[in-house]
Amino acid sequence: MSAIDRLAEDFARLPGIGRKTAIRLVFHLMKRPKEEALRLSGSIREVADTIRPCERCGNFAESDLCEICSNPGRDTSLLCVVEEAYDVGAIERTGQFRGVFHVLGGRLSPLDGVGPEELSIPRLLDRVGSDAISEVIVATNASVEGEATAVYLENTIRPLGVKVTRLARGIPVGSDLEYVDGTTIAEALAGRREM
Amino acid sequence: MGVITTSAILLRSFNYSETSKVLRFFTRDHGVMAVMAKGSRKSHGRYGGSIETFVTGELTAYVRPTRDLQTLKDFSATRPRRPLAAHVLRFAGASILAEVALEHSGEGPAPEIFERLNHGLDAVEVVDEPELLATLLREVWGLVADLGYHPVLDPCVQCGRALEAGEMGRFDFGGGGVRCAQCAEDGPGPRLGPNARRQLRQMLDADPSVQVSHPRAHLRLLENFVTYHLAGSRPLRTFKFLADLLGQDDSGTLERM
Ligand SMILES: [Zn+2]
Ligand SMILES: [Zn+2]
Repeated sequence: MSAIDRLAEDFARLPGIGRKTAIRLVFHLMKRPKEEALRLSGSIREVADTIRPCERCGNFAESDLCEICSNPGRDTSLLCVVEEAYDVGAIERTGQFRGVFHVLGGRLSPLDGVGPEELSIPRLLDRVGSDAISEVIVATNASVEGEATAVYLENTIRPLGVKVTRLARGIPVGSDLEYVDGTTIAEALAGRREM
Repeated sequence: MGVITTSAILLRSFNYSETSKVLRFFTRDHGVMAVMAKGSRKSHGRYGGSIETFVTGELTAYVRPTRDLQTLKDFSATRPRRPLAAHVLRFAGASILAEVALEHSGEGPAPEIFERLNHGLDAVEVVDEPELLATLLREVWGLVADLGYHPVLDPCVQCGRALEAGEMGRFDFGGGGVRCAQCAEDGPGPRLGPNARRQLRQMLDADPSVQVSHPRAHLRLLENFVTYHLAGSRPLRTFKFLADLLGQDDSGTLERM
């Protein structure tokens, strides 16, 4: 396989990129100055080398703690629970949330063998038990599995004496947070209700 | 390529790409069917909120008989099952029904299994909480029997002698049912008392009055039977999920029943 084909194949593995687009991207890079391609490859290498899960919340991080956990201006008494690290971005883009996050790493899914132990729920309960947290906002997806996960979290966290809220209706049923626009998320956040 | 329309229950879905999902349905007319749903991941996608686990609806798909993966044209919900998500034990029970139904391998019409599954999901959704485990056991055993794995409770699977009313037997998974007291001496499997045997028979007869005295022990028996006969010894994931939720504090056996 030629170098061109190899790169095209790598591009085609990325989400949203078909074979034709992949080949267009390769030819585009070859027409541009060499430095551009090298900068792109350097950026990819840097991300691969440096990004890891935040030790506290599971968000993408460049050092032990992510930018949110290491920001002293964030309200650490307000904890927002999301399924995946990219959901943190969806909520951050609203600009309306000043608290901190906890990334579960998925949602309860018995058919996939995903129970509470497979998610970072034990770690979440540690945080709720030891940090001074006054409210947990459950922002799992609006799917059946996301909803069941929210109910499970409510059942386990409320006995610890901490308020548990859920994003307001308005997130379309069945949709992933990732695909919901910022205004809708901001409204759902503002209108969150105690479970 | 043809177009088919059939009643169907969505049992599983996973993300295939940025925009698409693969859905696994139990259909009335074609058994288990895998369908690609393009554009279904984005919010306000073409199928609205009907693409949700455990929903019953009308499925229309483009079908090529030689393919394992068909293409979704439309799915409209006739029976949403959102309340299953509001109660984790019900959610776990519905997942067991789904996992067992997905073991069905026939490709022809399967109306009895479809109705049993549909009924089972309804029952697990609405039954009063204290009755939940007994109801789940009854519905799963019914489904297992409809899939063609009805255990033999009488006569003895080893010697063929009819069991007496109070006789202590043993459940022999490999033999597909109960052994009498003599054959149980050195046989494999858990001991099974006369009450447990009677309850098992009631569950298989879908008797709504069944009182299950040790539901967790019955659940283990059911899990072992399903694992042995339907899943080719591969452990089922949903049983473990439910058992973990219920905790490990029940050491009851089916022997003294
Ligand atoms: Zn963090
Ligand atoms: Zn015998």
